[in-house]
This record gives sequence, structure tokens and C-alpha cells, in this order.
Amino acid sequence: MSALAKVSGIAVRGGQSAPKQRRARPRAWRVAILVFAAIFYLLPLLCAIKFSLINQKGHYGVQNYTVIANNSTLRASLFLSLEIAAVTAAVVVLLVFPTAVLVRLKLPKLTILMEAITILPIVVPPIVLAAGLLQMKETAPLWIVNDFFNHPMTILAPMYVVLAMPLVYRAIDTGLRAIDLHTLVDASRSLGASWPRTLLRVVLPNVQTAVLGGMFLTIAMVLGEVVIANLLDQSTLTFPLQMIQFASQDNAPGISVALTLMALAFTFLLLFMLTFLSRRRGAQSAGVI
Amino acid sequence: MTTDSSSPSVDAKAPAPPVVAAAATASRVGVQFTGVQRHFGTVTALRGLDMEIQPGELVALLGPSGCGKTTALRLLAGFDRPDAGTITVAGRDITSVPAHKRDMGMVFQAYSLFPNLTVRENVAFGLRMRRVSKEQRLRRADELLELVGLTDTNRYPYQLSGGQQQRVAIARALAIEPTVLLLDEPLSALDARVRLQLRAEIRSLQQRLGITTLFVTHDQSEALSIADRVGVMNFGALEQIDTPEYIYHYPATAFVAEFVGAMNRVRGRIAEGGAVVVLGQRVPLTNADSHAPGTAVEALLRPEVVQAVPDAGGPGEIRERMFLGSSVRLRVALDGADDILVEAPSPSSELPIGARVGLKILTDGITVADPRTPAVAVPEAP
Amino acid sequence: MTGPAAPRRRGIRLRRASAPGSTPTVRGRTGAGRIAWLGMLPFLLYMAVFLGLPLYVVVHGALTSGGHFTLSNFSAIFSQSQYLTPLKNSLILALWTSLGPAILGLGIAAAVIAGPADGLLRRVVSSASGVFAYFAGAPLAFVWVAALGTLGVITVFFKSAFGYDLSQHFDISSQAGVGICYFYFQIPLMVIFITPALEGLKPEWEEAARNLGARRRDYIRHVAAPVLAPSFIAATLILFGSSFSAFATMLALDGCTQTVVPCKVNLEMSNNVLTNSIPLGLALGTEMILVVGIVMIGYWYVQRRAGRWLR
Repeated sequence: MSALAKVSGIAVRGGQSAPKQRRARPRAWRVAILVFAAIFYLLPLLCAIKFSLINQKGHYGVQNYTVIANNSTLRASLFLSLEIAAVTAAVVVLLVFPTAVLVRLKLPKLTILMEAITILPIVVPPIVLAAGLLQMKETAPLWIVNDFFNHPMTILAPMYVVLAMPLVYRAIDTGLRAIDLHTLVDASRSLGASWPRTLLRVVLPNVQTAVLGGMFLTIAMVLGEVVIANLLDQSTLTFPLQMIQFASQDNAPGISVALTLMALAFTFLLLFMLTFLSRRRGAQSAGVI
Repeated sequence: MTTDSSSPSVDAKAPAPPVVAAAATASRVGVQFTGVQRHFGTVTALRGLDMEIQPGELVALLGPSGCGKTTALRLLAGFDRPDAGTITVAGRDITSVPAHKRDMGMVFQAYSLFPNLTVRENVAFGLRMRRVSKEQRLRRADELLELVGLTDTNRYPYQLSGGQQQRVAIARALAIEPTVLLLDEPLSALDARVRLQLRAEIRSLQQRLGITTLFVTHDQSEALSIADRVGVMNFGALEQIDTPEYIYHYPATAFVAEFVGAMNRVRGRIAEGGAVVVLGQRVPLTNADSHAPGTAVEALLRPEVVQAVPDAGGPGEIRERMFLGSSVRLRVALDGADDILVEAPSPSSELPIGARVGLKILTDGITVADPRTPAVAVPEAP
Repeated sequence: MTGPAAPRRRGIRLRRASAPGSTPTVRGRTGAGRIAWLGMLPFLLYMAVFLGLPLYVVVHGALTSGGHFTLSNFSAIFSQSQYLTPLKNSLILALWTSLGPAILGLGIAAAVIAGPADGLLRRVVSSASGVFAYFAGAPLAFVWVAALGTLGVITVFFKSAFGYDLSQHFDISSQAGVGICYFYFQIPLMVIFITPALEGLKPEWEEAARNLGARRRDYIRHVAAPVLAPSFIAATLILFGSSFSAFATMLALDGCTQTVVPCKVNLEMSNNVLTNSIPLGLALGTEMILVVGIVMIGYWYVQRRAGRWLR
């Protein structure tokens, strides 16, 4: 009877094998290096927080944070940058997503070339790009100068697409590698879906966290880019340039720090929440790494 | 079917290579698992495993995914520590000995060759860890690679096929002259043909070297064909450990009966004198002691011990016919009972679909199961 | 399975297994028709216009003076110390702000991926890496100044608590100060680039090594390090390129008074007084492209070797 009970008491399980158990105690070097990293990154941030809480009169207060609601120049520059960021993010995904799928699906030989192209904007100095643009501005016909070069949106957004391309491509490619792209596409096509439908309804939802992550990072980048914006000297300053201007006024460095912290926190929260949105549990991570 | 026991790469007339000669004189060790348990959170991978592997024996652990066979192997290898129980090798308790000191050779399922080392360097790796001189270890690596049938040894793993990679893995495990050889589903990732070939070679190699071996697999034909004894596991427990013939013909539990090969469950009734009446015939029982006469039971019958004979007034009708090459499998519907599977060698079975047949039982010992429960009591270890 | 038994034939006749509708060829599944190549056009065109064109303009402008081809710009920047010093400074700065973060980034990445993939640590580091690596430049500079600048919290703390004036010994706008700030975004960049390679280290290798008698340091020395080396070098090269081109941080920290190449480019390009400054600026830009080009070639070569083993 007991033997029978032993057998019938076994819970019925699915066919999963026992999970590989990680070491229970973290090794010393792991702890050490993570502690170092924590200090290295948190300390300056904490200092920045303290710094930002000192208002212009030298006392503690949150004025530096509320200034954004009051100062119209700052508001304008923030909206401008956010606009540019939105356009950039949309364009870059539109450009990169089909291309990434194409390369992985049909043209795998181009992978190395694509990797090279996507490294370029990271290593090519933005200053050089800006210099080239400036030069083009000098020699371009007037109508181009008026229509393109003189408006922040039209000249900055396309360039930002180039700068954002590496991170978005990398994010999407990582997402595509994690799914069985060939099988998904074959299944969808054999059921009668057209190519656009397949991309939009089948592939995209499966890499949505990667795409969103890429877009968030693009926003982060746009909110911090100063090189090209600076050299092209627009009438309305973008957000980061405005921050620098505030900093150079010696009674308001706290504002810039406060704004930076807000931008950092905002982007971090977006990315962090994104890691919970992933459909894959367990063995797959859902973030940038 | 007998397996060919000569390794294809060694000429029978040439003297045995040094590695084989050395192993023949090496001492053989036995392995003992005593009450070994392993839990992963709420999941129990092993519940009190008691198992002994005789010196020089090849034991195959067979079972479905999650049954604990891989866990048992990894515990023996030292990659994991049991929550309770002990493991002894040659009488010595090795439960707390770290993996790199256990002196066992392991062959993984796939991807285990070091990609940055050539085949030769891979095989010599274990000897390098033991501070053997470069000249000596490379020479020994060459010997072993010859033994497993590989000639081009300066290639890298990525240049080899799956079967070749596993040969290298075997040579690498043997290079350190381990006391125990461990194989974790080494053939599962290979093509069917390569699998069959390598299976025979592994067995012949193991027998020539006389090395105590634990072989984990989910493929029952693999286990049955190469093992000295087969241990069938389910849900973390060892249900039966016996020779392949015994496992097949005299399964101790319903799980073993149904996991290994196809099995029919036919209703019958216990009769006097340690027999059961089923399909209108009286057949002696193998496990009569647990059942009183008159009890309704289910007899466990292999398809090949049931024969279908043409009989216009018979109780069965052929519904399906599956041609399996060397045999034919028929699905016979019985009046007032479940379908039954019958298997016969091809030339002797010409019965068409729809024919009415009678059934004859060809064996002289049947195991029965209690029809009320899906599994019968787990027997004590033999 | 079903159906009556086939009529028996006398003897056995072997037939070839070929059939008209045989399994689809590999090419049918992954074959690239013309349309596929056309699909690459939008991306390639866009890059050509918005990335290639400015670069071309720079190189073109560097090679012309007064409308005709000349190499005088290059001879100028490679001979005069006002241009050679920034180059030297840039290269040295890039060197230590790529090697240092490379090693630290490797350590952090290794420490993080040893934990569970969906654990809190991994999530935090993943999000933080993305933020810091791509925010880079100006924003981080502000954080840095807030901490270690002349009025920075740490500086003030040291002055009041220990009477030690940090700003005397450590200038945030010096090359060293800026360099340490670079670490802030270079380390996450390394973490992002090296993590895939670290995850590519199969657990079977470590277990097989242990089984064969290797201690952890033996495994690292003989297997893990050699396998990781190409990816590590590739990632470090990227870091080098990124550091060499970094300019925003300098700009934000002190308005770019440092003598490094990007600042020189900026100087020349905005200089409206001297007539020859623009082509010189462009020549400097070309010089930067050259350095980056060498980095890219190194990267490509290393990646090819890495791919070979890990196919």
C-alpha cells in the first residue's frame, strides 16, 4: 500500500528536465567587481542629486527641477528635442527593421558588411560628419539651405537617424537572433499572408521589446547629442545645448544637472520597465544585454 | 541481432595498441549510489537512488525527459552535489570530491570540444592538466585517435562532422585512463546511421578496455543493444535494473513494460495455481503473489507474443495494418474489449484488413497490472 | 498503414528513390532573388547620402585648395606641431580610455551574466548600460562636474572634512579628468559589446575541462581566454574609435580648450579669420577618418578570425 501511495503521490509533471542550478554562493570576485561598479556609478550620481538640490540662492530646494515648467526657452528646447527624437526613432525603425529582417532571412552573406556599416557611426567622429555638413552648407544651392539646413528638424533628424542606427540595428538583430525567423516567416507565408503583413503582424510582435528598446535608446541619444547640433548653430537650441548654456551661466549649474538627472532617470525607467515586458521567461533576458 | 564487436580501425593481426594493453591490466572499479537525493527547489530530480555498477560493467540509464537519469550522471561526475546520500567508487566515498579530482572521463551530448584547440590538442588536454610532457601526451593522443578511427588530427572541431566530433570526445575522455566512463546521451544529436555505427564502436571499445561505464539515453533500442544491464528510471526513481532481456520480457512495473517497446494491456482474471485467464487461454503468471484468484487484472502482452490466426468466427477483426520492414503490425479490434496490437514477421503475415481472426498467446509467462491504477507498486531492487 | 497489401512481385526489384516532387532545395528557401537586393536599397541609399556624403565632402575638401587638387593641407597637419600634438594627445587618451574600460567592462559583464538571466541585477545593468552608453557626452559631463568639479560635492566634502583641496591635484577639465569621465560611458559600451561573446561560451566547455582535471584558472587560460580574445580585441577597437572621436564631453566640460584633434577640427571649422582654416579643418577630419579606418580594418580582420572557430 505504501509503495502504491508513493507512486501515485508523484505529481505529474511535464517533460522538462531539472534546471541547471547556479552556484548558490556568489564568488568573491563577482561581488567585488559589482561593488566597485556600484560605487563608481552611484557615487557621482548621488553627488549630482545633491548638487541639483542646491538652488540658485545656495539653499536646498527643488527649484532646479521646477524651472522646466516655468522657463519657456527650456520648454521649447525640450519639446523640440522630443519632436526630433520621435521622428528619428520612427524613421530609424522604419529603415532598419525591414533591412535587418532581409539580411537575416535572405542575405546572410551581408552580415559582416552590415556589422561594419553599423559600427561606422560609433567610430566615425560626429565632429567629422558635422564638418562635412558645414561644408555642404557652404556650397549648397540656396533653396536647399533654406529648406533643409536652416530648420533643426530637417537637418538634425536625418543625421540623428544615422547616429541612432547602430544601436537600433544591434537591438533588432539581437531580437531576431533569439527567434526562429525562418520558420515564422515560412509558416506565415504558407498560410497566405503577404510580405508586409508577415513583417507587421508576425515578425514585429516577436521582437517588439527589442524595437522598443532601440527606440528608447534613440531618444536617450537625441536628448544628449551636442556635437552636430552645436556646429550647425540653429536658432532654437536643442535641449542638450540649452543645458550647456545654462551651465555656462555661473548661477545656474544646478539646473543643468537636474535636467540631466531627469533625462537619465526617465530613460532608465523606460528601459527597465521594458525588461518586464518580454514574452520569454527564464533563460532569456529582455534588455540590451 | 548480434553487434559486430571488432573495431574497424585496428587490424586484428597487429599487436593491440598500448592503450588497450594497459587498460587490460588496469584495475576495474565499481560504483555505488546509496540513497542519493537531489531537489531543485520544489522539483525532485532524484528520490533516494540506490544503484550499483559492477566493475567493468556498462549500465544504461533509460527513461523519459525529467526522470533523473542525467542528474544521476552529473552527480557521479561531480558537477553537482547530492542533497542526501553517498556515492562511492571502489569503496571510497567521493561525494565531496570536486569534479576535477574525480578521475572520470565524460562524453557530452554535443558541443563539448574546445573550439580553439585542434583535435590532437583536445584529446591531449586531460594529460596536459596532469603535467604529462608534450611529446608523451601528443603521442598518446595520436594512439587514441587511431583507436577511434580518426586520421586527420590537426583539424579544428568546426571542421568535423557530428560523428567525428563525438569520436574525438570519446578519445579525449579515454586519454586520461579514467576509472569510470560517463556518457550523457552521446548519440542523440547524430544522424541515425552514424548513431548505429558509433553505438557499436562504443560498446566494443568499452568491452575491450573493460572500463566501468554509465550510459544515459532516452533511446530504448540503444540501451537494450549495448548495455550489460539497463536501469529504467521515472520521476526520479529507479523502477527496474536488469539485463536487457529481462527488462524486455519481464518488466517489473507497468511503466517499464510500456516504456520499453509496445505493450498491450488485455483484461483477464487470476485463476487458481498462479495463472491468469486472458483471451480465452490460461497462461502462467510471473507476479502471481500479489494477486488473489478471481481478481480482475490487465495482462501485459508484447505484440510479438500474440498471434493472429484466420478464424471466420473469431473475436477479432483486423482494422489497421502497418508495414514496418522486417515485420508487420496489425491492430485488431476485439468484440467487447480494447484494441490489441499484434506483430508478426512480414513473410508470415498476409491477413488483409477486415479479416476476422482468433488470437493465440505464444508465451509461457505473463506479468499483470492492477487495472485500477496507471502504475503498479515499485518493486524492491533485485 | 491502411489499404490492402500490395500485390506480390516475384523477386525484389530495386528502384531509385528519386521522384519528381523531391524535397525543396536549400536555395529555394534562402535564395536571394533580385527583389531581395532591391530591398537593401533604401537602407544603403540612406547611408550613402547621410553618412557617405558628408564623409566624402570632408575628404574632398581636404584634398583641394583654391579649387584644385593638392596635398598641401596634409603636409601641413603632419608637420606642424600645433597639429601633431593634438594627434598625439588624442591617441594616448584613446588608448587608455579604451583599454581600461575594456578590462573593467569585461569584468562587470562576466559578473553580471553569471547570475540569472531574468534576475534583478541583470535587468538593472542591462537598462543602465543602455542609458549610459548612449547618453554619453554632455549629460554625463554635468554629472561628473557635479561630483568632482571645483564646486563638486566630493571636492567640497574633501575640503571641509580633510582640508584637502582636491582641485589642486586633480583638474576635471584636464586630460586625466576627462579621461576618467570617458570611463563612464566606455565601460557600458564594452559591457554591451562583450556580453554576446561571453554568452557564447558554452557551459559544456567548462564542464568538460573540469572533468579532465582543469581548475577554473586552467580553463580560463586554455579555453575561455583564447576563445574570447578576438571578440575582446574587436570590442576594444570599437572603444578606441569611440574614444578617439569623443568630443561632446570635452565641449561640455570646458568648452574644448584641450588640445585634441576633435577640438582642433572644431576650432578650424568655426574659425572665420584665417582663409585656409577650413580646408585644414577638413584635413584634420580626414586624418580622423584615417585613424578610424585603420581601426575598422583591424576590427574586420579580428572578427573574421573569431567567426572561424565558433561556426
